[in-house]
Amino acid sequence: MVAAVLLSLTMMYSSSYPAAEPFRVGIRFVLRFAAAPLMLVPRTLSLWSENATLRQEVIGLRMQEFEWRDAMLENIRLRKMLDFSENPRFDYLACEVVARDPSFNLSSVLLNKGSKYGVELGRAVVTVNGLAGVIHEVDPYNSIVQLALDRQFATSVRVERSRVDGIIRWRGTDHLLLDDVPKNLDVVVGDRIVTSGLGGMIPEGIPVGVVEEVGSEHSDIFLTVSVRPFVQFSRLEEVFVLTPDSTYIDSTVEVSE
Amino acid sequence: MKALTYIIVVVISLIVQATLVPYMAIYWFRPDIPLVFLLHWSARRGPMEGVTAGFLAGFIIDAVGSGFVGLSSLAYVLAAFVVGKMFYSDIPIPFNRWAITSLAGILVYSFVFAYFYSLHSMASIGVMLVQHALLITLYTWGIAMVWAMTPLFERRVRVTI
Repeated sequence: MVAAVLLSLTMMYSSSYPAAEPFRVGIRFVLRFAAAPLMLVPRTLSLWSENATLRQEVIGLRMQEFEWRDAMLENIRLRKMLDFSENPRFDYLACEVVARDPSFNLSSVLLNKGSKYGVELGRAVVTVNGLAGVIHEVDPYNSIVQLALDRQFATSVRVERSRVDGIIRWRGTDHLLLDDVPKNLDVVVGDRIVTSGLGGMIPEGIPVGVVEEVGSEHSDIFLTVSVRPFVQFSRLEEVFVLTPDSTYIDSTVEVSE
Repeated sequence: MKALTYIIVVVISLIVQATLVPYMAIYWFRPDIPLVFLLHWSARRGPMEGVTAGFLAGFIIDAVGSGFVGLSSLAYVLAAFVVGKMFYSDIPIPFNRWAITSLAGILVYSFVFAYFYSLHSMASIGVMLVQHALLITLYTWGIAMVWAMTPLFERRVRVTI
């Protein structure tokens, strides 16, 4: 008993435990195939309702696309006139969730693609609704996503309307906490929170959640902003890993020989 | 042979935990199915076998998650030890022995997680205990009670003191 407790604590407090790594990769590899038949059951059950919802969404999105295409072309023209650099583009690598964190809290999911498919550490993972998390561990065939509900997750975000920056973290429930926002800044209930792009790994503008509560009772200086995430973490089935677009060339950068 | 059966049951329960159990979530609370089987094993075979099984099951769980490697092992080991010890002790336990000891084991498991999660997050130990540990404990305990009512739950565990 004492030996088992000590070994557990040693593994917890050593930043990495290389001897255990081959076993962990092996377990993930086996789980990937063992879990696949079981995941078919809930996926098949949800197909009908999902199909109807998606058809409705497609119609709405097609209408929006026409409006946005004009706005995008205008944006490109204006950026060139002002000599702004273009935002880097990303490829969307579709991955299936093959297993979810079986422990106390749903803080990670296992994906069916790893470094062989171009998945890299720290890359953003998104769904159609918004940011799900970041790549936390990668082996050749699988990768683990640290979800926004992980206790150590933190990323730089922005209030879409007022452009107020902050850091978003898990707050111990199914909500997130927008941190480090001074009291005099403009954040109200209903504001959309998007990624700010600071740091470079997670692109700017990915939806994260909506502000549900703004309080100031815990601090004289900072606001306590509770954010409800857009992503339903317990129902993740397909996600996209954002990888740099290999075909992208920034047209504003001049190559000198 | 019994150990092999147990290993198969735990591996299947781990796969179910990682795939289907999230669909049983009430808000963000999910029961821990492998824990129920582990505690049952510990009650039947004693604390030492429970501790060994708990360590291995926890290690497998940590391989799939992004958390501390070792945290699930620690929580399972302590929970299995408590249940095994309580079952094979001479302490008088009122009501139903499985009901009380499994509740104690699940509480230990939840407390370990709540404590370590609160150390490395914005959430306080109070929030973790009330908003996570308590409800997960009740949900998992409910599953343990349902499991005890099935024919698969062999009542060969010591029921008298």
